[in-house]
Amino acid sequence: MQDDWLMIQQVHDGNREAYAHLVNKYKDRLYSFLYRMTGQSQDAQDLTQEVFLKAYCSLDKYKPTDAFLAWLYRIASNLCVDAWRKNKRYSGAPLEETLLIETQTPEQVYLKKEKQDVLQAHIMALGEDYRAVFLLKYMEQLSYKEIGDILQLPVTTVQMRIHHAKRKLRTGLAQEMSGGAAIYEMLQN
Amino acid sequence: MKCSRTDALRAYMNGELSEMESRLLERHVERCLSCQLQMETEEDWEPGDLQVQSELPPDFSQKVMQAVEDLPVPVPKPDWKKRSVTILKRTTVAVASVAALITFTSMVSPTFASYVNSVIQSIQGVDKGMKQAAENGYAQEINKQTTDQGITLIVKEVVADPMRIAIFCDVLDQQGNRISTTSIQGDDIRLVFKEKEGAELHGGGGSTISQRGEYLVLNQEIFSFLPDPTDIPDELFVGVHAASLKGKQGNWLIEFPVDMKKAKAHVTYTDINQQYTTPQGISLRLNRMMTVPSASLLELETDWTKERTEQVEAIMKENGWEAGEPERGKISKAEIMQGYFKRIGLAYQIIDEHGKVIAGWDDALYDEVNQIKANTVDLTRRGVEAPNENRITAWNGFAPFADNQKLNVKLHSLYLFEPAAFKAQVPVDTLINEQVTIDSQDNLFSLTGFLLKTTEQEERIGDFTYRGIGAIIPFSAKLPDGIVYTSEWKAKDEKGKEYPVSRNEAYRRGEDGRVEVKGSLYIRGLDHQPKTLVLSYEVQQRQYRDLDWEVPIKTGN
Repeated sequence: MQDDWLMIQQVHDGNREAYAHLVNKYKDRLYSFLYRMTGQSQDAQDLTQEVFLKAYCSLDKYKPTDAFLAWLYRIASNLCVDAWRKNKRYSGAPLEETLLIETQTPEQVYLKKEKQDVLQAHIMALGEDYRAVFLLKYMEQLSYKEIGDILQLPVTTVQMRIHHAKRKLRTGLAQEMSGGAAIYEMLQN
Repeated sequence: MKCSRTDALRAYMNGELSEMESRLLERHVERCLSCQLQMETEEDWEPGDLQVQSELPPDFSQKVMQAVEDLPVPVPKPDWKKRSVTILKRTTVAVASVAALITFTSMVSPTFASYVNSVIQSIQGVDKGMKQAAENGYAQEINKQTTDQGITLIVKEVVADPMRIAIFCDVLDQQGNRISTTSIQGDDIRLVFKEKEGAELHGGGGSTISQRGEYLVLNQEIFSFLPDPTDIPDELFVGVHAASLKGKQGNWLIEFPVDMKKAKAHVTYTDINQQYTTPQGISLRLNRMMTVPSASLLELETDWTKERTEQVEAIMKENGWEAGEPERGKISKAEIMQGYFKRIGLAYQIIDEHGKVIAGWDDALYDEVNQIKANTVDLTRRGVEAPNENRITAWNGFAPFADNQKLNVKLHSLYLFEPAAFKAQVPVDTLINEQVTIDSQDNLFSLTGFLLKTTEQEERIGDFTYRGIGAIIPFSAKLPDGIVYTSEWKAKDEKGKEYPVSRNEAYRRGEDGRVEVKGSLYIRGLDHQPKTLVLSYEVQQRQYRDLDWEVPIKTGN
């Protein structure tokens, strides 16, 4: 986006306040992505802040040929990988266990929050390598090529991982239906 | 043809392969058309909306801004490695073709010669280099226009050379009156560069929009995507594509060819390759100079000697700034300090053979301190940092120097950041009624008031504009001898709560040679009147003048 680059150039020229504009513009989308990546609100909040700080520090290296948001996603994905390496917290609790807890409150299963939780549990159950690819595709509707650029993966690998993630998610969610809830349909919107 | 690994692909999709097997298969599919086709047949299914409700605190942006407050400004740097190779390559070619180079003015082609009524000369704010290029016949008349949403965009003229291109536009309303608004904030204009055959050379941004006089000026540094001038087509097709103009969304597209042939022929390189080590252990190197019709670009390299590396290591150790894993969401002190140590500033003057200063560069944050900056041109690409090293290559742009000149580059100053220990306890009660003077670490500060700003809205108070809640303390100061800038300011109240401090400042050099600052401290987030405030800053920038380096250069090969 042209105006992003303008803002960045203002930061380059010493006007730090211009950065606030970019933070405001992208913070919620980044948070959303990081929440889906980590499944933890607090971690997603911390990481969102970390992404903006890292991005600021390397703003000198930002190239206007990249979309600024895509660039933020790259930093965010790398931070998640680092976090995963450090502790295995985000690698997704075994799905069975999570779902067992969910089924204890079947009457709430129609509530949106629950819908989110179930979906999130399935997203968390995707392997780390698949989660970012999947989210970039379906949260941001990015092309395979764009995702490949962000995560530095060949386009075919991106495509494969998305297919796998989709199949796994769909199968998992379809099974959920047998629990009596119309979650699957709800998720289809 | 079916690939033997189709089954493996199915197993992959079902998540039946081990991690290692999956990675190997991914590599296989990269090259296997059959598997790729097999993948295409996968049925389509779309999950629903994945966005979640943001749970970021309302003051999230403010927190981020407070955290970046005292970080060094991230100044852009071009890809040094890539450039050095191309410049080197180009230099060889340039040297070989010296005989073919013709002097500046005699190359004016008929097209250019016929266009001498350039408006550029009369526009305020256009740099001297650009004006010089226009004067020497590098301005081209375009006069193409398009109208949408009642707004007409006209591309008037263009000045272009292998370093940069400036496109001068007019924006008119329905009555044909110029919309000369100074706000370019909402304008969304993209520049696309193509070859004659239509192959896109660049279309990914990197351009700047500015209001110069009554014109809208679009600038792009061509050498940022085509570093080697020989790669620039003789006829460069430029597309100006606006999606938003003066508050209206629409679609404005103007395409036109720009003749690059003549400007391409006037690119000269002067190899310098001189090195100097300062008494502070900083290695300086003047690499070369590139001259195009609108600018001369001096390439300088700074690096740490072993001595400097050891010195910095000692300082880091002494202060306990260990480079380690930073706390999540924070940037470690060590990282911040390393950032400061890496920033090396220079000031130098360029003198002609009669001893007259014809240009000057100064990296001081405030030009008023030395007042030697002269005849520079503004480029977005200013330098590059070598990854994981302390070597930095800077590009300093000047209005172009004439050919065959004997010039001297004389080093004036070196600037280095160092830790500082300024700390002062301020009784706020007293400050409200009278001036408080602080004499600490050779600093002399006079604080002259305390004012709380209690609204979030932007407000102009005195000479400056403030945003958010905070306390304003106007001050004047005399910095320690040799210090030209201070950074990493903090304020702490009597309960130990720490606040970030931002500053609005004006600098000048006092008669005794010390730098004087006048402005205000803005204690961000402070919403009440504390008993005391401890003000501190931890980093200062020192100017060194004990240097002796003069490099003779001859322009234009």
